[in-house]
Amino acid sequence: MSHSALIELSGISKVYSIETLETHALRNINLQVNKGEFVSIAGASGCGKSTLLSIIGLLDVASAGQYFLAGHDASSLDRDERARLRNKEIGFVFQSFNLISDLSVYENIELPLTYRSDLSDSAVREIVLESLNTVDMMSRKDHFPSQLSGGQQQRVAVARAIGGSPSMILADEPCGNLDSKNAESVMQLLEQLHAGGATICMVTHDPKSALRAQRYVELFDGQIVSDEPIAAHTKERVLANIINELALVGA
Amino acid sequence: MISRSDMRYTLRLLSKSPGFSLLSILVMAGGLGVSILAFTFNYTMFYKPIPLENGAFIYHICAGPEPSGCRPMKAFEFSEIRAEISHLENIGVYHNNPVVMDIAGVPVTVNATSTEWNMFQLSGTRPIHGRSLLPADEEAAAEPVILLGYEFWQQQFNGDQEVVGRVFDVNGEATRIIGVMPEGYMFPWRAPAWLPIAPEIKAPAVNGPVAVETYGLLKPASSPAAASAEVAGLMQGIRARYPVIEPPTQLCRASVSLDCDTGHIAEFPLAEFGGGVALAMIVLTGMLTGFIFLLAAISVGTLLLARTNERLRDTSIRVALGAPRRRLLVQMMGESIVIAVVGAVLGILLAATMMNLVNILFQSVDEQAMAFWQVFRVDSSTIVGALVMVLITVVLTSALPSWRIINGDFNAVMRDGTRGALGLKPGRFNRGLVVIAVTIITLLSFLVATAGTYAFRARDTFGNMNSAGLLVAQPRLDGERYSVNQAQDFYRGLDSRLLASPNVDSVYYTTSLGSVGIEPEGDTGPANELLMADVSSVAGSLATSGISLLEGRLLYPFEASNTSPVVLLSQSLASQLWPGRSALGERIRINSDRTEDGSPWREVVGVVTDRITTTQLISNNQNAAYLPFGQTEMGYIGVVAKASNNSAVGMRQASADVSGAILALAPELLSVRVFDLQGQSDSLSSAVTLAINLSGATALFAFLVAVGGIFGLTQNVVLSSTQEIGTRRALGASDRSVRRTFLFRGGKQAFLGFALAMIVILPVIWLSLATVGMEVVGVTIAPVLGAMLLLYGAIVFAIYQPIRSVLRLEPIAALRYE
Repeated sequence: MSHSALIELSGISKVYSIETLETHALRNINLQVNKGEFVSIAGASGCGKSTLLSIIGLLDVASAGQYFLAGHDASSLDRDERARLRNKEIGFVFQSFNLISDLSVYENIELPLTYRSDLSDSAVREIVLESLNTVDMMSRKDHFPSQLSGGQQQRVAVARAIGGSPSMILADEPCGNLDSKNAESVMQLLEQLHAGGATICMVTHDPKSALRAQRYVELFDGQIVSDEPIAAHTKERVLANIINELALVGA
Repeated sequence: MISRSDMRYTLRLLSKSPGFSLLSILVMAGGLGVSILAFTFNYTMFYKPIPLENGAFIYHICAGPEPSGCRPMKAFEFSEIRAEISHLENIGVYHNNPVVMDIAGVPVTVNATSTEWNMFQLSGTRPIHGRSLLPADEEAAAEPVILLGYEFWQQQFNGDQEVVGRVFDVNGEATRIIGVMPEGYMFPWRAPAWLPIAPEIKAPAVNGPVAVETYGLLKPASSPAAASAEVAGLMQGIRARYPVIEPPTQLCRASVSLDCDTGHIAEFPLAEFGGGVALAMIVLTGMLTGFIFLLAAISVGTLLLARTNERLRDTSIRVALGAPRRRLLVQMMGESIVIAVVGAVLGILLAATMMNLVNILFQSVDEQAMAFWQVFRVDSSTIVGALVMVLITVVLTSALPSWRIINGDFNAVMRDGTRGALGLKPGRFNRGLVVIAVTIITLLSFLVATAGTYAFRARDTFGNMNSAGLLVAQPRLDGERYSVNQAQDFYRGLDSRLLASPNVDSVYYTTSLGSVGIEPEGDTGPANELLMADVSSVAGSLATSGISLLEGRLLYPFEASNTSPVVLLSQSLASQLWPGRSALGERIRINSDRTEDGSPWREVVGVVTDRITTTQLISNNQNAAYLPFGQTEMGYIGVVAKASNNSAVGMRQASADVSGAILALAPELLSVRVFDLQGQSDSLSSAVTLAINLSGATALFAFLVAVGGIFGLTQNVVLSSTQEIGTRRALGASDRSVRRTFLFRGGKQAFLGFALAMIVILPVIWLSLATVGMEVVGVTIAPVLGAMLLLYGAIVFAIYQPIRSVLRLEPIAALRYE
């Protein structure tokens, strides 16, 4: 195991069983993400990218394989330890925002911080206000989610994800529910965070968004079929693939 | 119309969560059943019109002001005004009196109604056999006749078709049967048979004391208010024409302090209870009915609303797909309609079963307790009422929210990114409903617990009264005919007659002067610290009612206004006034406010044992003071006679002697009811026990229905929050933290509900503490706290149980939960 890696997956598999039917969502995944990287995980629908992100984010457990997070064997953690790690080390941005309707913008951002015992009330307040500033939502802090547009809700979700200064941000289709303008705004936010040193893993099937990362991991049928840094030739290849797919759809 | 696919969709929704569907149906059935029962009770007791052609327009003509209730009018007064009453027609008089009939050699005593012939015209009912009464039957020289009720005819004459024309003895007089009235007709109350009114009652002597009941039919163009005003004016006119022969005694001043010379009309059902009592009963039963209905509506409504809210997103998708609005409405409401209709049918069946039990309860206690129309049953009005309630519930909890969605911004619902919970408004609304339900349950528990506490005390009080062999009569001497001295003569005469009877062992006379402050001589404390005691004026043998002398002497028969004022105190009162020493020779004054009102200082000449009285229903106070008859004015006097022999025959003979002696001295009373106190106590005790069981079961059922509703709603809210739980866990919340969050949320709602209820309850408790003390209040509070604990337990369980299953999921599964 490389101790410089923030995330290290080794031989990870995930099998869903419904009655006698077994579905292999992931097969023998080996992946290493270093601190400060911005990785996009792409692939066709149903290829297992969200399942992979769930396992990385400790939202789900693998059926087989080993997972080291910041050097700790995450496979052997109990529920409470996983909850603590999620709270401290991981920030989530979901496609459907997952804000809590009964809580105001401020309270939604405050929520993960309230699960920590090492932060005073004033520290929590300071963090929330700073996060609100970062996503430019200070003027909306007392609003409820239902009073916000989709783009604004996703910015609040980003603010919630970064509030606890996690080691990494996991974003599952962060622009999936947004129009292009709001999507661009969210992507810029993620780029800013990355520029500030954040480690980001982003699942997306949008090539434009995927190509804004540093590294491009492509899944197909539960397996990694491509894992390479994004350079000029990668962009060309990815765009060529897209054009081919579009042509096929058109035909 | 509902298409087959809509019906299939509805059934699929119902079967998708069978537990919730079943709970909804049971809550609907239970809530509706209890509401129908409460409504029917209230309606039948106070508002149900007499089931006769003119039932809604038949009124009593009453003496006295309206607030004091409907008092019988003097026959003389009525004969003076009846010709001048213009707002009523078919007016007449009646009175109920026990008569002894000799049926095939067996004496049968029944409470027959003596009435004027036009009562049957008023009620628009003809006999099924023979004829009804005629004016000629009321002539002094007419042959004595009787008209039989259908039920009496069936029971006593086996429905003999040839009964008309037969002659049998009524009160020792050969009386001819002239007809049989139809089944179910027992007007004016529960009459088994009718006799013609005596001529001297219809045309009484001037200022004669005989009192009668009256009836009249409100004319179509008249109003009750106008008729009441007319009767009041006519009654005042009588006094101008006929000045009072004797000045009104305390009887008149105390019992009708407002004005003796007035009158009003009252509906038949309400007239039986009297103004204040009727109002109190209407308010109390109305409150209970209202609470139960509200609770049931909220319980059912919250469940249906929760179901509707669950379908918001589905419905929005259907709207987006272009589903016709009417079809959508049918689809959304289908489930609610099925639940409501099945629940309503079960609810009506449940209510019908409970009504049968109530009927049995009343009949077992006293057949005369209820009028013939006061039968609890499911009829067309009940079914219409149930349908209206179902309709209101379905419209409010299903149709309106569905319509709002169908016509609202369905896109906003679909775009709603706040996964994991209901929308903000429905979520708050649901929580608000839980708060209201908890408030109502708390209030209902308090109301039932309070009523239950007093009911248990009543049962114990009646049960503990040592009343074997005691007979009680309360002759109502007319205040204008009997001065204080004449009344005393009456009781002396009665005393000598009864003591001469071999069937009567001892006699005791008592008149209550109420609960009054007792001021010991030399005490200068504030008036509000005076001890309160039940003060009564007594004569005869105190031992008759179980009171025995502990110290000093009893009262002498000759003690009157010209002898030194004296008093007997109960042991409890004496020991509080002079703890550790004898009360004999001390002086007290009956004086609630320490003012110099002429109340004399009385010497304590004896101390007697404490006695269980009905006052202890509302107070633990056993303080009592007894004054000699001759040293006070008298109100209504109770005659308590102890039979020499406790057997049924001995009691019957003693009872006949008591009523015979009273009627011999005051023939104008027409009849006197003599109660067997033991039988009365037993019957009251068993009535109260039955009432406790029935109302307790109803209240428990209402409570369980409400708890079921809250349980279902809370559970549903938690399950609807599965994605919220997933989100919280994704953000790092531990299982314990999630449990704590939701338990705190539920606890907050429960606490808010309790707090709101306490705003009403605490002042009542504070007032009760001042009157009945902690012992009684504590008994009242304990069931409320018990109910609250049970309710809180249900809420905790309703939260804990679904959370446990949600927490078993991995966070990602909870996040993806639909």
